[in-house]
Amino acid sequence: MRCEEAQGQIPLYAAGALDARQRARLESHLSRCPQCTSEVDKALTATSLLASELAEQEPSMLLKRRLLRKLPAQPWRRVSASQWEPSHRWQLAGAAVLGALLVALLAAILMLNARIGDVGEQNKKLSTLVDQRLRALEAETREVTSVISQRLTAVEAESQMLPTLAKAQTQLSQVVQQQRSLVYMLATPGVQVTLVQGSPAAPAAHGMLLTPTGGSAAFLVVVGLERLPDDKTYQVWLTKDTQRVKAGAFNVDDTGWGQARIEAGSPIVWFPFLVVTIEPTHGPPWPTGPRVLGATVSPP
Amino acid sequence: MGYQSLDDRTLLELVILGKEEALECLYERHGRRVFSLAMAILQDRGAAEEVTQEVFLDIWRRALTFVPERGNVSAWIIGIGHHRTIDSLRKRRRHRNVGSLDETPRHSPGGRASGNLEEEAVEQETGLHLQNLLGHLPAEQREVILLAYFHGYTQVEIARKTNQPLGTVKTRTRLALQKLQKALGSFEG
Repeated sequence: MRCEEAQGQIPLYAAGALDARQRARLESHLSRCPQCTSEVDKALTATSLLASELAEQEPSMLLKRRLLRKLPAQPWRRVSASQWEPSHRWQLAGAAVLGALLVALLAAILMLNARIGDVGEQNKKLSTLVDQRLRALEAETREVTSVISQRLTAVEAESQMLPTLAKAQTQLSQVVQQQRSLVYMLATPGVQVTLVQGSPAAPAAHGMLLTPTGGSAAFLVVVGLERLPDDKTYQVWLTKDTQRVKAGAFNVDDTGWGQARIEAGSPIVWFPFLVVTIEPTHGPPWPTGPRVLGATVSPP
Repeated sequence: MGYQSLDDRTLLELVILGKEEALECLYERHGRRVFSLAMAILQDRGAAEEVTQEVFLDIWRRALTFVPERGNVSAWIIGIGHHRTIDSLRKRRRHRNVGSLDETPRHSPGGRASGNLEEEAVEQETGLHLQNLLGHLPAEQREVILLAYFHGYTQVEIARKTNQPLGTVKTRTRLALQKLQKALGSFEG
């Protein structure tokens, strides 16, 4: 019988609807197939519910005693010493002393053999039990290994997030640093505030340039720009005549807010104009992309 | 060592080692259930006791065939008890030449089947729980379970008795089992 056929018969087996021949065929298959045996157990557990819901009745008190009296030697323990005692010992009593001794000797040898057989059977039984226990232990080990493997996978996934977290931390530190500079600059007396306006390419954008008197560093705060991909940046230029100086770069967050520290190496006010364009992250030292912001820092 | 404190599986292992006290303990735990099932089906105290005795002798002889991973010793014992009981019922039927396919079963524990079976079921002295449990099954599935489990009819006999194709009987049995398993889940859960 194949598993497919067996699976179809299992509900009938549990319900008792197989005839004796079909039942014997299925049981023969079950003795070799743990998978189908497991299905049978589930089905028997379900039908045993029918029995467990019946009104209970008490068997005779004598039944247990009768049962225990009838217990035969189990098949694997069938050989017992008592079976090998000579039943005709009384008849041998009258025999010659030598004969009696021979019989006794023979009986002793047989008993010894029986004992050995018994021990052998016991050993078989014990090794079967040990095998069963080992199989159970192996199953548990497989389960524990599976759990450990799942945990390791989870830890690995977490460790893969570490570079992303480190990058986020660095970005956060930079923002904090910029905020400190901004606060410091706002607290400096005589800060010049210049309005920065969006170009036709970014009409919603605007901002402020905060410049300390005579300083070579300033702070640019903008809003209303679109966030750029990682390979692009908003590049700040200070211009005078044909000169273009890279003075800082920034990107904006999802709300369109951005800020940058502007440094020119010369007093900021020396440059009449400020321009912001979109450039590749490591672009050339002259503007190539569209202009998005502009301001007159000091009238030429 | 107090055998009463041991679980069924351990007792079964001790039975394998030839400990009569372990079998006695299993009998004390499950003997009443086996006897009650046999009584419900056979309606004969002497025959039910004989079956119960045979079941535990069978356990004594076949304990080695129980695989510990299987789990439910109680269901295994009830399963042996049920098969022994319907074997006895079928043998008695053959002997008395009764229980032909035209005959209506004499009793119908806890169940409400269709037609005559239903009328007889009401008269049975069975547990209300069982009636509730079977009440969850559709009538045609309940009928198949009653005829198989409590009346010992084979699938072929049930098919002829209910005028249904054999495949329908198999399907109804499978569906009824699934519902019982679901009910079992809700009991355990």
